[in-house]
Amino acid sequence: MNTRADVLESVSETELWDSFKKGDEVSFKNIYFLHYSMLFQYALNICKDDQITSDALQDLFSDLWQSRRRLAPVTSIKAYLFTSIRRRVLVKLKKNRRKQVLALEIFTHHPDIEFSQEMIRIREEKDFFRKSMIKEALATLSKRQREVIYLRFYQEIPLNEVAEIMNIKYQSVVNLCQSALKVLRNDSKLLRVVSGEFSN
Amino acid sequence: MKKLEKLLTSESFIRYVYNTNEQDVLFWENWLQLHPEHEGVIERAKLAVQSLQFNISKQDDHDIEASWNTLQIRIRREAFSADLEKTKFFTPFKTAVAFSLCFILIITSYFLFQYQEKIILETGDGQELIFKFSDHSEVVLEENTRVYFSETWETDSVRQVWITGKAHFKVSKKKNDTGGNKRFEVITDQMLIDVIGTVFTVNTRSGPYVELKTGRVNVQLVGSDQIHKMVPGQVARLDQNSNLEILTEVVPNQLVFQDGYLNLTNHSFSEIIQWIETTYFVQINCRDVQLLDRKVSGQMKVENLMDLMMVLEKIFNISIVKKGDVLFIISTN
Repeated sequence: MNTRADVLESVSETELWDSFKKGDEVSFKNIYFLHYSMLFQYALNICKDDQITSDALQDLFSDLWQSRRRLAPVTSIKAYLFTSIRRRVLVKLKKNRRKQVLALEIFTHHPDIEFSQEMIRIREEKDFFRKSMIKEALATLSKRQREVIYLRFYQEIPLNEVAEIMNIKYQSVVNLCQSALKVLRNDSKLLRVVSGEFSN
Repeated sequence: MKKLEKLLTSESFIRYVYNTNEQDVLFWENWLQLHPEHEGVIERAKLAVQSLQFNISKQDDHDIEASWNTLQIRIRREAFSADLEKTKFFTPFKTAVAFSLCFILIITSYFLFQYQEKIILETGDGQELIFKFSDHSEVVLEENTRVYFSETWETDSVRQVWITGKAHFKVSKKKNDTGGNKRFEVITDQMLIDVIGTVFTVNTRSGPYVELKTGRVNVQLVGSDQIHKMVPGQVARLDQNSNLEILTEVVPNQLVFQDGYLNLTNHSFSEIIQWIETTYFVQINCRDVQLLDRKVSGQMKVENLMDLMMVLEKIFNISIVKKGDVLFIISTN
């Protein structure tokens, strides 16, 4: 049986987007089902709140449908959706914070992305020690480095689109990626763990 | 060294590490042969990239399906609200002058837009209207009924029709561009009726709100997320608290007004009075209990309320007197 992804392999992003803009509900549904899960993971990782995540996703797709005719063409639907959900979740967080704390609190626009042990893939899935070593190494990265690594390696989004999502220059993303990999490369404990994984 | 740093972040290097592209693997193997002094750095860089392999967690399919259904309900409701709750289009402005000017501009544009966009069908007292849509669907409007739909109805992804009053629908199945069934929605101020190829009646006045003859419809109260599926023979009613109830009981013997004729099948005078009151928006006063229980069958041509009154006077041997807004029934026996 063909999966949704198989069926969509024959359709380009541009065709799918154009068809959705014309009001084709099947295209809209395909976009929704293809990206919902990853968008959910990303939004949840930013805000750590199921309710805010669900609400932001509902808002995003509802607005997307209502304003479909006015939307500009896109080259990457995934990058467009990630950009949009990131902004929405940050705005929702900001609003909630304003309600909760003094207005003087400075809100940072850099999401605090976390890598859980479940996300980390090693050969022996139950080797919590190794997983926690990798998790610790990733936690030493700055917030922005973590977000670049998360988007590039977990969400598999090319760096030029990562720049679009994070709303920073491409060169800044490349620099963040380089510096993050350099930190990891200089972490001897991490390399020992990983080399054990790949030595056989 | 900066150049090397850049190379180690390149997509080509990542593909080489993950062994996903033959050309990149060949390139880096050649590069290493040409630059053996960097072997240590490359090895560390490979391990750093290898540490970034993740398990992709996926949402449960049922959760995604449920959220999709919630989204569909929300979209339908918002489309519905956007049409009826016109005030939602207006946002407050900082200054009174700017607010007033923009308010007037928006109202004018909106009504102009609405006027141009809507096709309105309307019937008055004793009138009946049969309208065939371009997709061969059909609607029969009873008296004092208003139905409207968008000018772009034919090309819209969902065929939407708004109604106040009572109308009988015969909906034709139509395929959309992707081969699925194109939805047909009937919207009232209280309910959303989602249809695929069906014959049914919608009545926003009294009695059964939706009566399904054939096919299948989903009904949903405005403001509620709950969808009720109806099968043929069922009626949807609103109770005193405006709660929706779906009943499988046999639809009561109802007066049928069709093609300009009122068809009576053992109907009581009381039932006829009730029909006149809801159809012509008049109040009728009759205190003769025996007369109210008298039953009659047959067909009578009805063009207006006056004609109907004259026929009733003859059939039931009564006099009908108008005092203010009330019609009084006086038995002449």
